Amino acid sequence: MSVVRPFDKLPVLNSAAILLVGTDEDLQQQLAQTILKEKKDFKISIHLATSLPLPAERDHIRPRIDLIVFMINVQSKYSFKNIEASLAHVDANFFLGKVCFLVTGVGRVNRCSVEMSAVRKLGEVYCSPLIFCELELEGIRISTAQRLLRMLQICAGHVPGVSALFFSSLMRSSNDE
Amino acid sequence: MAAPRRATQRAAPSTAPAAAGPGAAKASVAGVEEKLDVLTLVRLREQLKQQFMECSTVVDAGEESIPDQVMEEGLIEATVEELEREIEQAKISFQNKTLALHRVQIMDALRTKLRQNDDESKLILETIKRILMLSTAAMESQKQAREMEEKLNDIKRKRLSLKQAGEKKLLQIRTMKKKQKEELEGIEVGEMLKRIRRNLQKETEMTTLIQNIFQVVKPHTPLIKFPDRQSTPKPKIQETLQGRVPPLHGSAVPLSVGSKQPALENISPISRVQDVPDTSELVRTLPQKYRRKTMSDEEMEFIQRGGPE
Repeated sequence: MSVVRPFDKLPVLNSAAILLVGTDEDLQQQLAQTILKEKKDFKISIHLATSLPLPAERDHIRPRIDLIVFMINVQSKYSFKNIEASLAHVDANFFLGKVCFLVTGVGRVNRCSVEMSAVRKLGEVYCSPLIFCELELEGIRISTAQRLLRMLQICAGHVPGVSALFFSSLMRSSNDE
Repeated sequence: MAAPRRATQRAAPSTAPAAAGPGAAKASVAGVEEKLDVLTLVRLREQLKQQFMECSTVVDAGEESIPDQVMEEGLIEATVEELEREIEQAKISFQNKTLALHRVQIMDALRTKLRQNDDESKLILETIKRILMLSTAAMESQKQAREMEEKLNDIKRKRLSLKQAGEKKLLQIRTMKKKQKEELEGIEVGEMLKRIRRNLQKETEMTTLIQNIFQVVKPHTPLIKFPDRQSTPKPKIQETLQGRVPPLHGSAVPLSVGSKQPALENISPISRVQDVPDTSELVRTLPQKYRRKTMSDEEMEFIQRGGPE
């Protein structure tokens, strides 16, 4: 079983790789399409998975993963449990800013089956930012894609002077003050 | 994990657009290469730098166990040294114990030998007795030697203290002598000064007496003739000229140089003694060679103008 490690492979010039992990495949596809449509000046490769660990056979072909996005659907407890199980297969060094939690389905409050406090605790425990979105809406999807793209750029080291460690500023919420 | 789907299955359709991206990029690579400008290169360079920095930080972070190793090595060395020291001590104590054991064994052998009471044992006994005697004699002489040394030390100490006392006394004598000399000199100087003062006083009294006498006896004969200033009405210039004349004779009362009154008083009797004509009459009576030369008109004009034109 291979553990996803950062920095175990050399980066490819002017390119970045993002890994989307989540149970909801349609949403994953839609998000991937939106990200690809965005204007960017580097090569991007998007990998989709329902759970970790990734199969070891294609490990040598896979490029270095720069950003892992865990997609949690608050309307299904199964996705939450799946994500929690997958987190064990991620190397600890990833959690220095290269992991992000995308919480979808927050628009319909009456259908939430996962508690918000549990999601927030997950973000705190793993020191990673939480992004709340509603991917079924076009506008929000585009803005989320733009955000993820920017985060990917920084994680891949394309922005000089800014490192992935700065994402701790995204973790502070107004509730804490 | 329930049927982990291969990421590549999903990746294929998603990388298809991504492949389209690079495909399109390849098509335009030719075009891009044509205008591969400095900006892109610089951007790529910055990217590489940042990525390199991140990788190197991770590598450095992973190397942090070395200081612990160094510390461990130091500890190991310290323990090795301690152990070596302990080994040395154990060896020494072992040797001492073997020596003691040998001694005990010899004593035991001697005792058994003595109990046998034959010639050899007698010889041993004799030698033992002789040894005892010699050692007591040695101890006695050592004691005597020590006593002698102590006496010697006492004497030396006494001599040192006497020397120090002698030095102190000499110092005292010297200081006292110095004091006496100074006192003597002081006395002499004081007396001399008094005598000098008395003499001086006497002399001054005598000179004042003599001066007063001479004043009464002999009137002053002037040696300088002054023209008569009193008779002719002249401007102030003459008075200032008179005032500047220095005093002619010294008297008991000191004269101030700037004062005009006593000078005037002194001069007035002089002018009465000899009547010398003043300037207007001087012009008439003065012989030709002493008179002023006349000035030409041109010269006068020159002076009036104040120089050349």
